[in-house]
Amino acid sequence: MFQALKNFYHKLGSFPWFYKISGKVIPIVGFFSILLIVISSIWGLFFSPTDAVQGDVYRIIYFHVPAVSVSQVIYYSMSVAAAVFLIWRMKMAGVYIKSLAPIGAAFTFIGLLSGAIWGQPTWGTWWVWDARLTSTLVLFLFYLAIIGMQSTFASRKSADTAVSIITLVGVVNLPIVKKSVDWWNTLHQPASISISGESSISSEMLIPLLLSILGVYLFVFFTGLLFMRAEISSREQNKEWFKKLSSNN
Amino acid sequence: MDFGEFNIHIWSVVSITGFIFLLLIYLPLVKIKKNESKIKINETT
Repeated sequence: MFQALKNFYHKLGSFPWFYKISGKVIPIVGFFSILLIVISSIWGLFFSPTDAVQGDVYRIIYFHVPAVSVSQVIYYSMSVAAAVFLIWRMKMAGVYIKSLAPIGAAFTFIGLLSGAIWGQPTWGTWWVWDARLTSTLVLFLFYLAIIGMQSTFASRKSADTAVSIITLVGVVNLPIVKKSVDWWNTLHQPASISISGESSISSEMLIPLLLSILGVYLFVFFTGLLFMRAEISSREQNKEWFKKLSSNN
Repeated sequence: MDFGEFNIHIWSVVSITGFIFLLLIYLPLVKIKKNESKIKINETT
């Protein structure tokens, strides 16, 4: 088992292997992620019950919660990749961070924007500087810094090293985002769904929400592979394996 | 929500999210096609 994992880890570091395998996996993951997102969106928008307090506007939850959840998980995964890059200098880890940063930024943006649009009719304001919103904005700024830093270095290795360090620094913010609603008195409500405890929303609303979360996670896997493939095609375009593979397609 | 009922808050979130999703698919695909076609152009010239 350990040997199989070790072999997989070594294979994962190979650009030609990854490029070939991802080409086969992408259409399947893409199809199922989009299917799940469409089903959960239609279910959530039209077939789940109306909220007694908020009315229909609560349906933004089917876009807001998956987006903010995945934006934090992406950052955690990037920090693992950053550690791998700094310890073992695995090039694929650098590709991973560069590829996932724009996806993480996009989902944090969706989370912030949908939260503001939801906040306007329910709280009476688009934005407040409370702990949850501010720490999520800081997360978004970290994503932007990571994206921006990629182009400020002449050498790819220096850029990957600097970006890995910044990614690890930003990890401090993640527990603050998660625990902000418990540690401080915030306008933002505490989590409605819990893995360990009981969720505070009805199952009729919860099932499409869980489906949309699953769909978005699959979508991130799908677009993550796409972005990594694109990054590899940029870095390796002068390599013999890439020329051979491209001319065969 | 009834079919046909328009809620500006919900539909603005849906349309912005949909647009960003499309971008996240379109941008890497264009980059891959561009890099792969560079090889083909170099081969023919």
